[in-house]
Amino acid sequence: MKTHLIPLVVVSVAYLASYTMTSGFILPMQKLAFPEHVDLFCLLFLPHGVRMLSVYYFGFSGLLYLIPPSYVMWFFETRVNGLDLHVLGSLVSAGGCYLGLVLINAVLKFGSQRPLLKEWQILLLAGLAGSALNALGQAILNSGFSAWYLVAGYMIGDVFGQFALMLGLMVVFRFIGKQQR
Amino acid sequence: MEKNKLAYLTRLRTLVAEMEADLGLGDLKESEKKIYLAAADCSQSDRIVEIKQLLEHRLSQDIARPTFYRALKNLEAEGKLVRVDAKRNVLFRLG
Repeated sequence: MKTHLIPLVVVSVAYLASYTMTSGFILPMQKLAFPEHVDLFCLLFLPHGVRMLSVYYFGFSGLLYLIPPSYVMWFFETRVNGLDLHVLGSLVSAGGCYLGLVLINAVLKFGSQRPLLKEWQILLLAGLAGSALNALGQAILNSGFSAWYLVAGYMIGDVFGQFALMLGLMVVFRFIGKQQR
Repeated sequence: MEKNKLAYLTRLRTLVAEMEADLGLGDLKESEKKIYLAAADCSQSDRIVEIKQLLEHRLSQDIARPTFYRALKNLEAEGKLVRVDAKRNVLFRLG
């Protein structure tokens, strides 16, 4: 139990911080920049990066670590912000990411392509697959979620968000490196 | 758990460093990046790496010998690699 506590806390804090950053800063900026466009999805959804990193490093346990912070945000969005989100939506999102990673690993292993790709490229590919599975799952859960541009919007937001999060990590590591010199 | 935490951090840092190198955003020279990443890759278990491993690693094997040794010297000077005393082999650990 103790071995799971630290990763659970790290993943939860990262997820909640990235979600807060997305809904509190990126989404309002997006609305300012594109007021006439649809605001049902975010073009830079950072929590997808946290989801992918969690399942990439911790495997199936990573999926379980994502459930508590996902439901904290689900509770906040439905009860405080009054959004109509399916109760299984958070589970589908985390599960989609895990299945996306399993799928990409299996495809690369089957095609012997894994040595040709860097780990970050594999992670981004898995993020794309995870996002597609997530969009598919959300489409099944929410009957009104059938427009192709919504699916495309979610996928763009997820993948761009994951890439932005990885760039953010790069900046953090560079900052730490400079502090240590 | 301590070893696991270090392994997770090393993997994450290597992943980000590889991405940084591929995107051309690092502040090290290309040959230095390759040798540093090769050292990070080889030293995951015991953090010690032989110079022979670095010379043969897929990331750094294509670097010309003079450039390789110059880059190694720079990495030592920057404190990214630390020379470890050994009787027969030249060993390094990540700084």
